[in-house]
Amino acid sequence: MVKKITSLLFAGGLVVSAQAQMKFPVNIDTAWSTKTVWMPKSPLKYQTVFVGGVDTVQTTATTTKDPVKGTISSPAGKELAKQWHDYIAVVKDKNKANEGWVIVNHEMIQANDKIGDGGGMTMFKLRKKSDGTLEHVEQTLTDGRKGKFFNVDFSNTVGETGMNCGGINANGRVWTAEEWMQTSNAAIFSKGAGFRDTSDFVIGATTPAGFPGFNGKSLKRFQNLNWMVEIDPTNAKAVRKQYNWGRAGWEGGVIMPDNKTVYLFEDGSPGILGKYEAKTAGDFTSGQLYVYKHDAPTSWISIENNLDTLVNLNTVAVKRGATMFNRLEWGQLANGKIYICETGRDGFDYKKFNGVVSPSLIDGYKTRYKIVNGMDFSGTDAAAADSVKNGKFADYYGRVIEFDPATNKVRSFLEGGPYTSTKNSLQQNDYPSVHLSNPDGIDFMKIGDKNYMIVQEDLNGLTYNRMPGNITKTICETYLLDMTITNPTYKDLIRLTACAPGAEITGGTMFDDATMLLNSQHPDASNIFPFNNSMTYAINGFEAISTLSLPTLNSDSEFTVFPNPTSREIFFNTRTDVAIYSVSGQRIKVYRDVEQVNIEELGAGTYFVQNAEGKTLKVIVE
Amino acid sequence: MKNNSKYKVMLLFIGGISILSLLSFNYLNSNNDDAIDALNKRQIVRWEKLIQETENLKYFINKEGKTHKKWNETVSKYRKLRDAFKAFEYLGENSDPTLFKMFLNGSPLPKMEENSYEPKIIEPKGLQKIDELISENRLENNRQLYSLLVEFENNLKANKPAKLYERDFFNASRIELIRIYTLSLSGFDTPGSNDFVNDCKISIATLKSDLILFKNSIREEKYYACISNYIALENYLINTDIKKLDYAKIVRDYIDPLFLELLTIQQEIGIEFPEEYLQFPSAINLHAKSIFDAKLLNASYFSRVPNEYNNKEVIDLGKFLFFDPILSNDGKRACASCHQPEKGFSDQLPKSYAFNREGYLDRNAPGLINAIFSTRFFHDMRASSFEDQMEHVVHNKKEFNSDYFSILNNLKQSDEYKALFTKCFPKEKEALIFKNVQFAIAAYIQSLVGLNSSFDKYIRKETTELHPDAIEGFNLFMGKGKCAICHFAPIFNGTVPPLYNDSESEVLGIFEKPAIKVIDKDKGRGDALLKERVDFYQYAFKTPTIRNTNLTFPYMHHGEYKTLEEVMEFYNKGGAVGQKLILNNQTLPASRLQLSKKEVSKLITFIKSLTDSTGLTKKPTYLPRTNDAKFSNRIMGGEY
Repeated sequence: MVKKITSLLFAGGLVVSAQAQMKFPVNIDTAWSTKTVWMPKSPLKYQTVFVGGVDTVQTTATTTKDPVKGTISSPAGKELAKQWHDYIAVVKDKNKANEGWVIVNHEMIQANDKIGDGGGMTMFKLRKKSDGTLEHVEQTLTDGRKGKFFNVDFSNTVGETGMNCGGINANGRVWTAEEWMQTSNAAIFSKGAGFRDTSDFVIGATTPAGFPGFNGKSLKRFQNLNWMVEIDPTNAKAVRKQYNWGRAGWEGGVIMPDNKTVYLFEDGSPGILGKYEAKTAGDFTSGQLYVYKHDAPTSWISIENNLDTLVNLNTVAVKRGATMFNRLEWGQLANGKIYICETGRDGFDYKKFNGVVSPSLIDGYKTRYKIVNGMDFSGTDAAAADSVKNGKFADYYGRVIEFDPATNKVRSFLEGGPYTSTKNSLQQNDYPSVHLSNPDGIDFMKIGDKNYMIVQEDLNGLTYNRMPGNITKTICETYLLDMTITNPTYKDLIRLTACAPGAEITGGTMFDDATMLLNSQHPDASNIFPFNNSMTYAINGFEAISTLSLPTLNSDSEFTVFPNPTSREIFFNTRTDVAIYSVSGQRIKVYRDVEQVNIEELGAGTYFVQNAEGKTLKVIVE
Repeated sequence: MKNNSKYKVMLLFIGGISILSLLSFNYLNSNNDDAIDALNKRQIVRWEKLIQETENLKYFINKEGKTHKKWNETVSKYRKLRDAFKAFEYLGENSDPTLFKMFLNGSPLPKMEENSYEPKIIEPKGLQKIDELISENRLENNRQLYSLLVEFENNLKANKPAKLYERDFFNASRIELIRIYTLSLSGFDTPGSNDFVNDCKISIATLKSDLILFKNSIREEKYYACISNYIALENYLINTDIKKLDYAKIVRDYIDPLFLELLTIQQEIGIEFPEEYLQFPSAINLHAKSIFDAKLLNASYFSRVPNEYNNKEVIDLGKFLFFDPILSNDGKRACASCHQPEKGFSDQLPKSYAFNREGYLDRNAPGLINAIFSTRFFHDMRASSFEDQMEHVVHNKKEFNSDYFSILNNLKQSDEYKALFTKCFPKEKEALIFKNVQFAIAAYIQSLVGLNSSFDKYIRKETTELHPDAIEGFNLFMGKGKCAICHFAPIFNGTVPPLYNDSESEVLGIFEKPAIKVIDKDKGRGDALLKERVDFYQYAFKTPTIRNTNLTFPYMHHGEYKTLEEVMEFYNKGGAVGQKLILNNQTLPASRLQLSKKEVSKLITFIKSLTDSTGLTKKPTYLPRTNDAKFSNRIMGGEY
């Protein structure tokens, strides 16, 4: 017997030697580990507040003219909320400090008998509970609807809207924007799946949709889209389409503290920057519209208040030589300056346009040129602008730009990146710690006494290293940027959250000082519930965080792990290969050449982390 | 190695046998470092070589290739470029699949710009397009060729190879075996030249020579088995007439043994698998032992059902719901009305009856076995999950003519259903909600997998018996018939290997009826999703699996083709364009396949050998009781 056992052991030994493992064995003896690192619970707590296709909205009575079926009348009732959540506006209740209305845009086109055709918005009210989490408030609206979620009624008021993307939120008032410029009724009809009513729209034919100066005028139905639309956030009802601000692929806007000046941002290639100056504070029905032309003496071109001109604002503006951007998205005011996401696009050229290339694109072109060619661009700005105009700038990362209303100057504030043309393709390990692609949503928040930019990505492709090798889905993230940093780069960004694969992360705005609301829009179908739906979620608990910083690496010291409970990452003192083992010593994950690892998915428990030198630490995740 | 001292410290803690293992661990480790360094260097050299060959061809076309006399030289320079590409491809594409799909070697068809505020078409580019142009042998193509080569080179230069680790070599090698088999040998990769044997030679030689780098880490017996298999496959391809390739032999004797041996090696030396380093699940499961392994694809990748709900209880609940007409407005229709288990979950009608028997639906009801292995659903690909698909059925006036609220109301009248939902979804505040109805039905449909047909068993060497006609039919399917360039192995549907994360549609120009040579007016995908209504999707339809199609007749989106023979005849004649009709963007090759009657019959024998609905056809024995009188006499599987 004894002999047999010995030989078995010997055979075992042989097998082990023949199968010797590379670097990180499949199993380790966990008794080797001595040092323990604790990963405390995150002070931040996630809460789902609104799921498209699942939560039920209260609808108004709606009548739709269908060319085939005739007039379809739906009584007031309920319907599952639309999907494709984009912009979020929060309007706090003046009477109840812990309550606020939340309005979410739906960036989609859908024929829907109950909610109305096109895109739309959903309104609900949230209350902050004493434990820091949110709850929904039951409401009764002036039109008699009762419940928790309400669709914003457009079709009975101002006519439908489509692809509601960004918006403006100022002084308790909310505007929604529609970026998807359409050029024919056939296109918006979309064979009955889009807007079924394609009759001409008469301005002011139904109350209260009128607009001073334009009442009685008629527009082709597709021309009644792509205006900024004001809505009444507390009653879930549209107020008016802002015809005097012009029709363009508007995506975002800012109203200045004077409550007179409005800046408007267009999502297009080329996209324009607009300005409206109201005569009277708070009355945006009369005033003067301009479009930005940075090389003009006053930097602005006046646009006449004529419906024919306003309907084709983008074309008119570019013909008159307006400054051309590459897809402007949302903007926000901070410290007197306006920060706007210029999200970028893989391939574009402005050869056939009469406008002038934005200085922000010249900045972007020169930044990329330097990295790709290893030397500064030696030509003039005019030469750089020429290259951009002729399609020589693959602007796949985009940027955040800064517009100074005092000087009317625009510049690139934060370039996306990193550009890697002279480097290796990025691998997963380098991601997400060092990557800003296609910024889309933007807002600001305070942590401690510092102001942070909240910048949200919407990747418009996977090419050119926007996603690391091997990942074939987009992953969009929200980053924070300390606004005291001068000339920031993507390296200064602090990662806050990522949303479900395939989704864009949008809507990021603060409900109050302690809670951020975010949207996860159009996630990949393969995500599990509720992450397979467009959804609004809250991150509660920011009051517990007083400072944010990135750890500094020290490659000389012993293998050390720094837990970051907030971002659920562990940082290492130096770049290394690491493997993570379960409590029983079974290998779960292997990471190569990393400084940090996200352990969110591991859940609470005991783990072992081994580095390339075989040094093992015990990590307890709470 | 610099870390020797640390191992010595550790040795104090462990016993004698481990000393041996640790010593060899250390020793092997250093070898691997050398191997992986060498591999990284090789990949850089391959990248540089590919850029050089691109430049050579580009230069030649611009300066000298302006006469027909020089065309042979153009072709031979192109061959050199392909050789360089094939050597670079398996590790390169593994690191950056998007680069290859969008720029370097995507199908020669237009694509859509992703996530744009307006539909924007990206014209075809890359090597497949170049292959088409070269083989057309027309000087007029030179300008376009030149600019495609410039773009190809620029995209290459902008993407220096990523750093590689051992895992990349092993996982990429096995994925390359799938690529060789499904894309190279089927001719998918070489739509113009069909010169895939030379491609395969380079791919195999590259895999082999890279494996040699790891020789010292691998058990000798396994190492030599792999090397000799590579050589045998190479020899077989060189020595066999391209028209007489035996695809069944290739997978049984060469590809699958290599696929398994490399797996064993990877497990033995502890190289990590994708799930240990990828952030998200992959469609392909690299623990599979064969390319025809029933578990080669992860059903969970294609599904939204959370893993915790993918269990027998939920599947059984879904089965009740699938057969229960309580879901429809009149209590007379169930999912099973049009998807009947004994008919491969189709109804063998051209088009199913519409609600209340008022007319018919717009398209043919597809079979459901193996339907999960797709990223899109419906013939026009408008849904991206079973759950989305269900939403259309529920609301469609011709189908269930109902809505979520009514369905939930109906289900709530049944105490048995309420109890079943609570049991299946115990963690939820309210278990009977529509998403759980969807999860249950989706979990059931997801369980309808039949990949153990007599053909699969033969290919996997679980049996040595298969009708010779089926084998010959399979060889025609992969070769002369060109079927496999759209119906990809092993599911034989439009889900594209080797990553299987994207499903394709095709434009064929299907006739109104086989005998009426008019293109059916249904525009399919071109009329479905708003963002896909572009020219090149007009008349496009999803590529379904050919498995179980002897149960799911009649065929095509409108069910007007009654037999597989009629379908084959249409393909044999090159679709609509092959039969002189005008159709833009037909993706089916318009050239005639020249398949004889006998060959067609062999193809059909092969298709029939893929039938497997074993264990899937059982209906529930009863339907849950309900207190609602309206539904008390309902019929299992619906009245019509």
